[in-house]
Amino acid sequence: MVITTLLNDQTFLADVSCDSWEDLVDIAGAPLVREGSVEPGYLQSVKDTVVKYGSYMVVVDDVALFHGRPEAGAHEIALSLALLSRPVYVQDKRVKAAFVFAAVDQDSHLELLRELARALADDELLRLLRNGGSREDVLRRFAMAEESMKCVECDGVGGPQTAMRKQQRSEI
Amino acid sequence: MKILCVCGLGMGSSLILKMTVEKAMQQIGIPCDVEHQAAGTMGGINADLIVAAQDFADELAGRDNVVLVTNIVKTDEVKAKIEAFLEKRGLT
Repeated sequence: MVITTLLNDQTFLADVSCDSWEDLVDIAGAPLVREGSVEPGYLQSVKDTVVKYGSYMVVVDDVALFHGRPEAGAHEIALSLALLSRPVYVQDKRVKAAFVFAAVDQDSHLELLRELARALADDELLRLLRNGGSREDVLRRFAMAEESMKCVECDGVGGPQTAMRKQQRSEI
Repeated sequence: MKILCVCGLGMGSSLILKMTVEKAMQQIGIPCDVEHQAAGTMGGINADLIVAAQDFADELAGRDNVVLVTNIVKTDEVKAKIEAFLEKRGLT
């Protein structure tokens, strides 16, 4: 429920046009500054981290998950999403969609990231993110990913089958 | 075994990677404790295995217990690479 709650009219940006990943961080992060979730310095921290470590925030092909240091001015857990009309590059990695998220410490945003991880493994959602899907379609897909997390058995982890495999292993 | 997932700030991709690693290890069937941390703060950490995105190759150079992955949400890739590491170490 976290993603679909955080992505609203203000924080979902469609058809964004920009010239560089630095511009993209500013544009995609602007709603979070406007809402008071982060200080402008937080967006600078995002850029500093990318400059220092490279393109790793492009977590899957074409999709960036920008974030900075909590102490650089993050006041609450927040998320925005920008879909680009033409791609920008972080080093050699292409970006067609970018999330900016803010967290206030190392762990409290675990649920948000859990949902994001699940969603970013969904090919249909990635297709929508890469091709400028509508907010309605994107949010519907996120909602489906959230819904699927409620079912332990289809999660592939911790379900009865895993427990059985573990049992068999310990018997060997 | 103890596994450490590493990224730039220790709160974004390393946390996502931790979830993927936990899922992969559950499938492999070896009990483990998975932590996540920022690359710059891991000096004294003792882990059996360190998992990170490809970009951290330089940061982790010189260690012989590192697995680098290209897609941190793909359980299949992470699992295959950890299995290869375990096999090399004779831990399977």
